Amino acid sequence: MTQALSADVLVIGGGSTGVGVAWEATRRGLSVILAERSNLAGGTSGRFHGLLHSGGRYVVSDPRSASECAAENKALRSIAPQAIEDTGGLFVSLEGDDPAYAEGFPLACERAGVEAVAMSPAEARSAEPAVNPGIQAAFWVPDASVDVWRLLGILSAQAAEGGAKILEHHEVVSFEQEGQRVLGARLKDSATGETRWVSAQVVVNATGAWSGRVAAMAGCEVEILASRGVMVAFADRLSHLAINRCIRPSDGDIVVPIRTVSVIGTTDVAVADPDDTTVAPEEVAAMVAAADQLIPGAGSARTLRAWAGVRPLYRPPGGAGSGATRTVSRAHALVDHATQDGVEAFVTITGGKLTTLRLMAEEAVDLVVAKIGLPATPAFVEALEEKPARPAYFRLPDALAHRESVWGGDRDAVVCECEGVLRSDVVALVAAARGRIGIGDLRRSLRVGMGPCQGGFCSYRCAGLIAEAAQAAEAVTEDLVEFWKERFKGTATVSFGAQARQEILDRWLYASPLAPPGEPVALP
Amino acid sequence: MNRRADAVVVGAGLAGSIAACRLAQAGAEVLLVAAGEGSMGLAPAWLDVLGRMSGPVSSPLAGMQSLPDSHPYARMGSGVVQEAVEFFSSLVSSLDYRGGLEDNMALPTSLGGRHLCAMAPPAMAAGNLDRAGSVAIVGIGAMRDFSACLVAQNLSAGGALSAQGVTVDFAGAGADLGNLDVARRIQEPKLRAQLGAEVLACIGGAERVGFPAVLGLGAHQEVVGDLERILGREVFEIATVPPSVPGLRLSSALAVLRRTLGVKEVIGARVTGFVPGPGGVGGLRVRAASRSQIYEADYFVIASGGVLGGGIEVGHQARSETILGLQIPEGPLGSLGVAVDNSLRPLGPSGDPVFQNVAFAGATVGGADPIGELSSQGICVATGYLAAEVVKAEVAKVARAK
Amino acid sequence: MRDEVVASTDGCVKCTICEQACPVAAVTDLFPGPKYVGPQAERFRHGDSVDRSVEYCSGCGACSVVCPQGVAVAELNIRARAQIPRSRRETLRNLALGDTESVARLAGLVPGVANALLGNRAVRRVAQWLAGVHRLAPLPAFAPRRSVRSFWTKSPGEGVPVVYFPGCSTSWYEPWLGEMVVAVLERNGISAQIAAGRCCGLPAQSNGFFGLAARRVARIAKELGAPVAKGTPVLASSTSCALMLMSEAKDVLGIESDPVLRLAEATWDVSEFLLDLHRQGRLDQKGLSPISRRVYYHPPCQQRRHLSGRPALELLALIPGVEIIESTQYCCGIAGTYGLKAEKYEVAMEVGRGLFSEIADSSPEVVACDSETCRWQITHASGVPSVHPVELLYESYGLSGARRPLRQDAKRKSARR
Repeated sequence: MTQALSADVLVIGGGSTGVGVAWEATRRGLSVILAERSNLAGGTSGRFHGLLHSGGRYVVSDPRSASECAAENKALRSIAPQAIEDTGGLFVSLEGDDPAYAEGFPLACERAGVEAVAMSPAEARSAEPAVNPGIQAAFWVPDASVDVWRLLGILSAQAAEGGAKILEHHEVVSFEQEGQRVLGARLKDSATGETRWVSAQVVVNATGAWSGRVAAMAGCEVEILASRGVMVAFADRLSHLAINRCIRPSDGDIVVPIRTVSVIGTTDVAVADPDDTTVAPEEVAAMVAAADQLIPGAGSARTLRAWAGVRPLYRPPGGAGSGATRTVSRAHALVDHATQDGVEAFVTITGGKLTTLRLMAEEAVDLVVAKIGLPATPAFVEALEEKPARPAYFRLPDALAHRESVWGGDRDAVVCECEGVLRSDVVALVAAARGRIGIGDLRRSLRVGMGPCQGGFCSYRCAGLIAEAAQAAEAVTEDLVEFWKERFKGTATVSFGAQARQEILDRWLYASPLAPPGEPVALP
Repeated sequence: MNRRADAVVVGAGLAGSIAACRLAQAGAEVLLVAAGEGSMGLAPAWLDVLGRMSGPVSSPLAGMQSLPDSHPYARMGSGVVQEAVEFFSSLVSSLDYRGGLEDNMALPTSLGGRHLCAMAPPAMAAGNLDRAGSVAIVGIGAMRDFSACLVAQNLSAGGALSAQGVTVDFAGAGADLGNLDVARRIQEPKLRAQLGAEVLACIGGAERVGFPAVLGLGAHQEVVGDLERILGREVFEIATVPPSVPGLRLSSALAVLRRTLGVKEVIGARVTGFVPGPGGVGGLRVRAASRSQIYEADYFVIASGGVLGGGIEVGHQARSETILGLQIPEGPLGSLGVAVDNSLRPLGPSGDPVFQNVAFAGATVGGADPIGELSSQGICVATGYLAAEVVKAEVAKVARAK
Repeated sequence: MRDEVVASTDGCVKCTICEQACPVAAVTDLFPGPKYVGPQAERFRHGDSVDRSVEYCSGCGACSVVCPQGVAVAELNIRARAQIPRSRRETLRNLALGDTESVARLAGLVPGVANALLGNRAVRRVAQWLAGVHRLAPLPAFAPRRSVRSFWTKSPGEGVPVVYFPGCSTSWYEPWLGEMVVAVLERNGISAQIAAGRCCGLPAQSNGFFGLAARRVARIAKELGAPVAKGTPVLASSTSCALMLMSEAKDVLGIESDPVLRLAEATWDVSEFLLDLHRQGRLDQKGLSPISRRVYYHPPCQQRRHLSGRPALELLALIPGVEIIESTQYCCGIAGTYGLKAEKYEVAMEVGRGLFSEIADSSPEVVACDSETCRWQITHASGVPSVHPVELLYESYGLSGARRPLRQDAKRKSARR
């Protein structure tokens, strides 16, 4: 067992909730260790559609969530503008949609504090030419899209700057308890296989859909309804505004422009296992059909990937029992296991949405502080208070401008052509990690391999740069092959039209000019 | 408006080119129409005939004997495959292909793997990994698509031979080099002399020197000759991702042949359908810039590509051939193709030919798994050749009847 | 609804076939290649233009022709180029090159003066410095008023009616070609009504003035509406005019009005039309008398985008005695007005280098090429006289009356270094 660690707070889970808690706790001057079993955003956070909610979606069904979203939308914009694109969004009702819903929408927005501007169909069409020309009513809302890897990267980097220790690839194997008090946890490092002991004054369980399992390890009860939602990404942006269907929340009611793609979401299917992220072909077909209603032509547009994420829906003890997950509140829940289960120093924060991560973190850390108090000098707070005068949002052409900076010069090269990643971008990350980095890490940080060719060309280039630094061709080759397999998992259900052609080209690349030594690559 | 020829060939790839050249050589008036350039410039110019079945195949000729009956090679028989490959070699004799169907050679990949293929141009064949001795693998610093480090370390790890990776600068050639950039610049004698000197300084006693396959386009032989002279040892090329420079050499050679043999071409126009005629197909509907035209002929060779080339469309519901609208039998994505008889005529669901005067060729033909089997080029050459033979025989029959 | 051209980017599988075919990327690092500035860059474009590298696309369209996946690469690039912010000087220069009709109308009033100025080295130096038009670039000479008059007063003759669209080049620079086209048609029982001298809009479009280009096309579609409705074919001897009317008005400018679409369907390249006559057995092949001449034929890039093969080549093959050398090169580099610009002249000459040396190696007496700007560039760079293929048919038929002023070529030659 490697060296033991200790901190004021041990946060379990490196999704949006956990990173938010680590960030907030650091801000208040607490020492923090965060443990994540895979990589940051490796669970549900990395598997959502990218929408920073305006709140409009919930104004009728769940006004409390709507109000929280409206406030937190503003808050996140000022915390991490670089991770956010200020797209704006539309709520539109189509022919056949219940007109009463659209009629009640403005008042519901007003009551919930959600900004919404009524537009004539003609105005909406001119604001977003891609939208269905047959729209009956339209409202503009301050939707935005958020790059979750960049967002969590910013928050975790700030936390690390304030002294927090972020341990990726560390899974909790057990809790150490003394009587009814949690003292810390044993973590297993999946890279080395070693376990290490972390003691903490409070342990925060921020494991989302897995929080029932983690709570159970400490002898506590958290009931989570795991609800799987399927999303499909198109190879290009189909619209530049987020387009919501102005009806009660239902399957396929939102198309989000995020980075270079558009994502349609989503479904809501209860699953027993939070690791069950299978995608059925019928679900893909239904999503594509739903997108085609909002944006005519989407039905024949190239689909790039399909994936599923599992939402953690929290059911309070003795809460409503019946099955339909759509009707379960999206609001978050903070559970003090001291009062609920009589277990001291253990807190669960779960449910909620990525948009409300700051609020969730604030409430969780309030509870932590109530238990252990604050240190005398929370020095880190001030550093974080300095905000840029104007938010520097991400803009879509930024990546093109970044790529264009190479033009005519003689210093750099483009490695990932689909997403405009330069050799210097990759080399910098590889150097910072001293060669101990995978292509998957480059993907999350830089988006290599996320474009139409799905890594067919750039993954080898990245592997070459890593191999050059690490001088470990065998391991790099293995990582490369794993990366290819992982990419193929997401394209299996969307291999139609141009994407099928791409798949054939990629299969051929991996079997012929890029064939690795030994057995052929077994792609799904 | 209509155009007429003895035979219309669809597709400007390897299969279409072979068929068109063979027919034109036999004196037929050939009209070739293609939606774009074929994919020869993607694949290295190696001729994969049969490299893998349940395991590696050491002899394509022997391996062919145990293919299922529905496989194109089994349908035509290994004799025809042999004839076709010989025809190909003599057609592009300027490229001087080495090897044969008796034994596969193992050529290095860009990841240091072993690629089994029947034939290859001399500079690629010289990289045969079954030959003993030490090799140096040369990378060019600014090149995106080749990592000498990956190739050399993986080759050495395989244990068969010792490989040493070196990366050199290509002086004055810029920081962002694609395969084509290097291939064009290396044609400049001064630049390649400098490169040769840089390489010579760091390869020690290696017996052969492997470069990424970018050793010149039109001046390929001069480039290889100069480098071998400077380095004093054999030089070979290692296949890269597209654009493939050796593939482009093959593609240009065939384009020149098509032209010299009098094949009339329309490149960039899509065939959108057909009009019925006495033999099944009377003409093909071709979309020009603003109008459709009908290309009439007695016989048609369709080598419009597989899924990648656009000859087969994979829809949400069904998979179909794009010109005649044939349904494609179910199967994994890599094996989709038109079911054909022994004369490459398309078969209907009942197993009988549905069009008498059409022969399919190339990746459009089903019954194989070209990527998995490493048989892509072999199937193109063999079916392109056979399609031309079938059409030639039919043309002769018509002539006799007249 | 998704725009068709933008939606075509979905087809890109990054296969690099367009990069292999691009004649500009092959000769300069200033152009990063069609895939790079085309379907790849398109995914990032939204709002202000941030990528100036697309500027170096010449618009020759090789990429769109060779792409097996149907990606409208060149069309995307032409659109993106039009979005690049310009300095006032650049805009003026581009307007001077793009609004050919207005310039020609003005200068055509005093062709002698205009030619004297454009032939003057000092003036050209000033023009390069002031307006960014390269001092050596092959600018056409305005035709003598006599030739212009002779063309416009030509009677259509007897026969099946067609409309002949002369475009700028025939209207103001090479009116004798128009006379020859009309005469060759007449010889084959076709009566050609000459349409008004108009610019098709292509130069305006390639210089970024989409509004002007759209107005030009719409005007032509309106003027020719009546004959087109009757099913009368519209013939162009300029491959760029034909391309504009056939497809670019829709694919680049996005015009989908009925008159423009109907005009597209009615438009023919003159060689394509004559070859079609031949296929129908209606071309007077017997009347073609031998010309013993070594002719180098180069199909221009715009003509390849008609997607109709090489009709002029097949026509030339009908002329007894002509020895034809077929070009194996893709582009002469000029690409309309691209090679005239000071910053692109060298690039254009480099693009055409393969062609020029192939011409030199095959020592033809004359180069036949369907596009006027290509002819001007070829003669400028190779010194070999160049003609439209119909000019050779005219000669072979033994027709007379129309005459190409010899000094035109001589003058252009003298503009070389």
